[in-house]
Amino acid sequence: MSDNIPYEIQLEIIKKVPDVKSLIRLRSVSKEWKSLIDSFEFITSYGDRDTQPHSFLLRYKEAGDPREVTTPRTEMVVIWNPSIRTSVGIVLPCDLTNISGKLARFGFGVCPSTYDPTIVKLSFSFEGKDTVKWQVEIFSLSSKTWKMIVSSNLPRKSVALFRFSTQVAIDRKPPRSISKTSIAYDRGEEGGVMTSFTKLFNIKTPFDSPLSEVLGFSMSGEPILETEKEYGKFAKVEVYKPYSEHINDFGITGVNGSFFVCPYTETLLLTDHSDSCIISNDY
Amino acid sequence: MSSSSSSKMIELRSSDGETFHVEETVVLQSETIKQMIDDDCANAAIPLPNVTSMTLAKVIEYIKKHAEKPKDDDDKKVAEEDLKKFDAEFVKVDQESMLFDLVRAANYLNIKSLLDLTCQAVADSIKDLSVEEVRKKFNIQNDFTPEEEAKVRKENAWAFD
Repeated sequence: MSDNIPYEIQLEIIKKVPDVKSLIRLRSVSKEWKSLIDSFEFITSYGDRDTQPHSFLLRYKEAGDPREVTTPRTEMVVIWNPSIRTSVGIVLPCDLTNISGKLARFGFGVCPSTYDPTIVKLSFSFEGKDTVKWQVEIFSLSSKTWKMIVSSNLPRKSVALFRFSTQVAIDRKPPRSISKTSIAYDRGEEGGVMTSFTKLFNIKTPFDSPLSEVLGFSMSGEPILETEKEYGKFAKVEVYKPYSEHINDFGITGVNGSFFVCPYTETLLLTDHSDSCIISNDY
Repeated sequence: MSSSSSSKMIELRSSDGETFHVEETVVLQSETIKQMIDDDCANAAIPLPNVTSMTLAKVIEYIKKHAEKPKDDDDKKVAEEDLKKFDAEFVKVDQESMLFDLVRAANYLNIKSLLDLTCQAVADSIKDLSVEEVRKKFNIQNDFTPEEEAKVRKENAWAFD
């Protein structure tokens, strides 16, 4: 056809391209398409689609992995977007990382309104018997800086920063001698309000493969388990099927205790960063 | 439908001079035509100089199907499923250019749901095309220098596997 598709329609079409890999390829169509796909507005609006299928991200350490991790001199957190194979390292503010007696925990999330990747660092030290001193710092990728939250209103005992969708309680009897493991889980409501437990599984675990950990739940609500093999020599990821009471092996073997599973959706976040770049900024 | 007999008919004329008679209630899905009717410009045949008779026939097929009202709640579920099937079949067109014609017509006539449907179909179809094929399809000039293009591709070489 002789008429070209107007740019605003091209934009509508590009927005609807179903996968990130194709979009990354389409950046080389023209300068206009590249700057569109790289734009902050496009990156954030693409993450907002509700049509994309959910998948899981699995992280584990291979059994017998010979690679040694050398301790870096600076402490860094790394944000990685597997869909576009890009990672960004963020150096921790040095004046806070090496204080003895101080413990730090990290949380990561993407702000739902601004789509800004955000890291929260909670550090706390025990000062005297019952006194815990909290410190909260927030890093947002758009500002590239750490900000200390100065407030006397910080909770003393716990800070719940991210919404948990699943709460898991495991009742584990002494290992090996048992054949039953109960998992009760509860889908927490928004705002962390606990509702009554909605599902209770009694899993008959095989005698020789006790359950190490419940890693999460599949979309159909089946528990994803890490199970120990050969008395802790290695572990496997398995899914428990409540109806058939079968345990399905995924065929993935790794170091006991190294498995981590989380739900994951494809996004273009970090497209505007070059891979392996390091952001180093103090306050 | 019993109400159809009382509905006013609107006459549409395609770019190649063919006329189509469509019920007003059906044709109101087009914001462009709705505006014309509101402005009292629809007493004679409405000329649509950007839409060929072949494309207009397809558009009318679409808006007619989407104007069907389910009788009750049970019927509603069935109708929704039916509409989904219809939409999926509707975008399976023989000629590639037809899909683009429909995109342009949906845009010109301002029919949001048809525009969404056809844009999604185009997006699905370009997913597996090479960059060169996409340029050809959209008639886009490659404005990168060979060096620039090589650099952009190199940044994400994995995506070209």
